Amino acid sequence: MTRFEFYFKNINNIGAKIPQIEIRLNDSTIYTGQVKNQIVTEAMTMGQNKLEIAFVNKVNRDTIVNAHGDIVKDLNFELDRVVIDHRDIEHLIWDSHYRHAGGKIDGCLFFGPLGSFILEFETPVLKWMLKTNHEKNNNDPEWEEDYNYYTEAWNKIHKK
Amino acid sequence: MSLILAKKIAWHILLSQGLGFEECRQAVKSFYSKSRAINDGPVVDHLKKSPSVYNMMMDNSLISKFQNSFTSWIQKNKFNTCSGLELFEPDISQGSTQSFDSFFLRHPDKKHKFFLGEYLYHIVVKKNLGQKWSFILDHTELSKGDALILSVPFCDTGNAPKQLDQILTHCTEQKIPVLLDLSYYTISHGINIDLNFDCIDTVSFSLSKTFPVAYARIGMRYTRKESMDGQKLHSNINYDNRISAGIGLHVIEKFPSDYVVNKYLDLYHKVAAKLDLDASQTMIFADGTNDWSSYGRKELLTAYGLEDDSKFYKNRICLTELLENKQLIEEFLHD
Repeated sequence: MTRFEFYFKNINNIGAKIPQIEIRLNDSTIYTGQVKNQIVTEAMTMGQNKLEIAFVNKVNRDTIVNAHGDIVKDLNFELDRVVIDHRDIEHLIWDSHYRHAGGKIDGCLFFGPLGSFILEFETPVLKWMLKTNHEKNNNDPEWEEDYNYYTEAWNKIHKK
Repeated sequence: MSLILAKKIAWHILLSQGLGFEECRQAVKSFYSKSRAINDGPVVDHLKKSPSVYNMMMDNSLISKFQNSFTSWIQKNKFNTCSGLELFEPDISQGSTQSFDSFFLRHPDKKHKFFLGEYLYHIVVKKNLGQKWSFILDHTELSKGDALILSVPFCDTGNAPKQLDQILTHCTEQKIPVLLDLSYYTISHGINIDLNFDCIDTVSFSLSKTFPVAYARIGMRYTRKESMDGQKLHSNINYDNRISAGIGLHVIEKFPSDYVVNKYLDLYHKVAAKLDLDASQTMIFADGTNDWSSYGRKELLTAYGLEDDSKFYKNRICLTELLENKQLIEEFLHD
């Protein structure tokens, strides 16, 4: 099982109404309920994974505007961090998109309109992070060698 | 192949210490470049039973007890000899470092010379103070007006310097004061030093490489009876660091000066052979081929702004971490 930790911030209610989400991994629901500052859950991963956090209870009247059309109150929240298997995926959280009725926004952690945050990642997550970072920045040619040393040592220690 | 094994061992030890991936990755780079004492279990246990700080500070006889005990402790070493130590007077030193600083202070007008590969402290200090110094490759580059600091065993190789007696004869003829840095003496074997040369001004020892007491700064300096400086003044008026002396005395009363070599010599040779390293006379160091160039003191030299000199240094590989993980290392040795 893979452990997931989701950290949210700036959670804005409308009266007693709290944002509700559904978290899905590879199209299977792994959490349903209110948004909290921290949500921890576990799920089975595959090599290639699709993580989806769907904002499910937003309706038009949850956005209150004044006479000038400015938003004065809104049901919304932000995703702050994602930690997979105790590893903060850090800036790779931005390699995601937010899909909503009006289209797709790249690297959006703000849950305003009804829609879903979608992130594709691979497990083991450390290997994915090292590989992706090197592919982006071309500055870590030894990542795979070091990852293999790490894995071998880890397996040897935990086999005992 | 041997370097791959060395990396595997390093990752294993560091991960066992609870470090994460990135921390291990950083630590692997300096894993073999250190020069610290082995954290030997019985020594650590004994150190945990050190006398109270207050009792050490209040013991007026502690410094002289330590100084006298230290001399006989050194002379009882089964693997090495240094004849003529009785010609010198001991005074406690804050590690070997205070002895070096005192030597620099007593010979401010001399040009200080060091064989290439010598302890980096000297070079960093001399560079930063803007004082005269230079590296040498051969003792014939030493002449009147110079002063020499020489580590025995030599810092870069862990072996006795070649032609030590010729160097000391030459320095005596040229009236060149010499400081012999014997910091590795008690973790080495086959070192035979004749101190009966008039050029020898200072002989310094340290416990920092022998026992895990580096942060207590315990050293012993030997100088001629007639020499005088601030360090000796404090010794004469019994105004030295009694806590260092107390910890030093506590440890040397229990463990002989050949304890480390006696205990680790076999394992050291097995490890060096398995990693295709050339064993040295010093228990914690071995010499690596060019494949090991990233694992010697290169990073340290760069950190000190001495990267230009790195090509002249040996790939001195420190095996301390391996020796103190005996059980684990034996598993790797048998794989």
